[in-house]
Amino acid sequence: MKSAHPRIDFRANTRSVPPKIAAATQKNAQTALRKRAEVVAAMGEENWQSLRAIAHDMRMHTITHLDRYLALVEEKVKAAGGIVHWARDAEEANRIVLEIARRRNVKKVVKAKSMVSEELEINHALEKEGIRVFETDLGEYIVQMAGQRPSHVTNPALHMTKEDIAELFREKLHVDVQPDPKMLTEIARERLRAEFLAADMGISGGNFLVAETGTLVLVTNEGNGRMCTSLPPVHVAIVGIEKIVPDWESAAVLLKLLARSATGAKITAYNTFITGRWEGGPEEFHLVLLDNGRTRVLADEATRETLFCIRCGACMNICPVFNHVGGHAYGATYPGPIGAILTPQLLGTGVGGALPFASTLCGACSEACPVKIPIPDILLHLRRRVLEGDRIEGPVGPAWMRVAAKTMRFVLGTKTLYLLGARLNRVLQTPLRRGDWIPWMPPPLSRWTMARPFPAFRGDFRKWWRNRAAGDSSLQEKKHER
Amino acid sequence: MSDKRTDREIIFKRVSEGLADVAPRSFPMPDTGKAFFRPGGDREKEVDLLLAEVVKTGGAARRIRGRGELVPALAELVKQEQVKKAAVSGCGMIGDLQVCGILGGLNVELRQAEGRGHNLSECDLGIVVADALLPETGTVVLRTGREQPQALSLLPRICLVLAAPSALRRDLHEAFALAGGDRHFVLVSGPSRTADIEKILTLGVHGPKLFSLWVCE
Repeated sequence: MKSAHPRIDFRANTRSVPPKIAAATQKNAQTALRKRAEVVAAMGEENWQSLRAIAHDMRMHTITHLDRYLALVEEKVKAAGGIVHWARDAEEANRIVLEIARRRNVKKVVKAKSMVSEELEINHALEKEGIRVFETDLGEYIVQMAGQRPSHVTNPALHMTKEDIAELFREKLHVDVQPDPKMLTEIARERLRAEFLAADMGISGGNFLVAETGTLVLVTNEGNGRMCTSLPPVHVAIVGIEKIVPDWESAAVLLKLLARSATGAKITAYNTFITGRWEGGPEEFHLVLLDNGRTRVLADEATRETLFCIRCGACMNICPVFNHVGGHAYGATYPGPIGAILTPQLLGTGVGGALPFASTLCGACSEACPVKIPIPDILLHLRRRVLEGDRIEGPVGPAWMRVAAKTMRFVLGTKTLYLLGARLNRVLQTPLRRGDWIPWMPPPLSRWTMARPFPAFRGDFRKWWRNRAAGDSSLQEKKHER
Repeated sequence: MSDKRTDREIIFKRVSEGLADVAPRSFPMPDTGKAFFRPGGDREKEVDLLLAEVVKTGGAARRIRGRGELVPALAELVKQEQVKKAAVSGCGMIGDLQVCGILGGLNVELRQAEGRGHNLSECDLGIVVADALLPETGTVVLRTGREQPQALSLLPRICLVLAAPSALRRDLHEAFALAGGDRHFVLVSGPSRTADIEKILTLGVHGPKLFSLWVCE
């Protein structure tokens, strides 16, 4: 599988992470997790778990009946005066949007926050055509101005301090402003209000698509989503094909989970529901349904549940790795644990093969996930895909690693070799051993001992196991005697 | 867009191939009704909860007992917030309470939405009527239509929502049963807000800076 995206070197990326990013990421995560715990407690743990279970089963039902629901969405949106487009990849999606823009002579676009549009890099495509694009979510506006990538799905500028942002505003907007969030927000409000009123096209993503009525659901806090989808004469919504929910009951379940998981609020300030063209709204409504690798994710039963994701960011907030390296280390649109399983599937393991290894497999992400995606299981499955290959993709790991893995499997599966190896280890460690630990090992094993000492080989495992078993049986006998 | 049909066909083919291992009728739709566990309750208590939740979101909320309380309340709002221009919903409740007359008496200039409502950006105050109220989250449901354009609750600096207690609903499920068939509606829970800068809550990003709910009895 070929991708234009450069190979992601997670390890190298983590080396350039400034300490302030880890601090800001942890502050954000702690606040979100504390508030989330409060709203879950208010709802009751039993109700919360019940909601999660229903949401998981509902997502499973939807994804395994995706063809049916996609056809239903198309039918309903068309019946409501909307225009439905299908895009197999990013290139096609960008081509569709550019064609609409050319036809409508669009010069200015306002954009609501959308991870899918980040995935498409649609801003570059539009700007190449001389169209000005304004990100309107405050965090995205800041990140766009700084020429950076969002570092979190729900909090794009969390890696920047208010001082950084004030400096950025002084430099780019030529305003004299103090590092005060209220003042900074007021400046963004004034600047962007003018752009909302002058824009020729609004672009949004979509949190959900309700199949039974063909309704686009948008969840925002700032009001920019409402403005992008109502003030310009053309609204283009670009939505991944997995964002479908069958009906309004399902939408209610997921909305209850989304805000609570994302920010710890019971609900976001604005939930907007748009079905095709509406009275007083834009002259044209376009829905672009995007594949861009999603059907590849669907094709593997072991990874299919990746598509359940509702982009709440809860897995990131709780992840110890993400909290130490921040979002940029993941090198692509989707950071954190969900990025570690989604990116290698969307872009291929040749690009994102390092990401499934960027995890401690502690399982906290899976516990936090509102739709119960088994992220650690999928990480393990993708690690195997990287090293050994499967029907989706061939192996991409270095040849020496495959040889080493096969050798180890042979040695560990052959009794005599295993016993010989165990004895050799005990002999070879002698010059390096200091008590119960090996504090230093030669390269490449030194990469382990740089971070922590290695436990010394202290004995023969089989012997230890026999003794332990004997001890257990003697204990059992003593119990019977009593 | 000559090959759009091709892309549609390709995607459907990929989806069906991807789901080839799924047996028919496996993974049925779960009973989402089980997620509807909020019992609701006494109307007075529900109104109290609603008002408290609106305040928690950073909004203002109060009860208005008849027109006698509405006139001084509006006068106070107009004075405090220096309201010069306003736009109001054309819903029946506005007429019943003679809101336009009260505002006229307070020398507030009334505007009407034109086109997609860009001109409402000049208004200080937009007054709308809630179609449903969700006490648990302090949410108002606003159904968009000719009488109540969406810009009315979005562009003016202040959003005032008038509501009758009869608009109370127990949960999102009931709100969707009411408005799910509409072409456009919004759920609004407090003023526009962000915590994008160092997680510090700031009200009034793009939408109204002040959100006020008056439950008129």
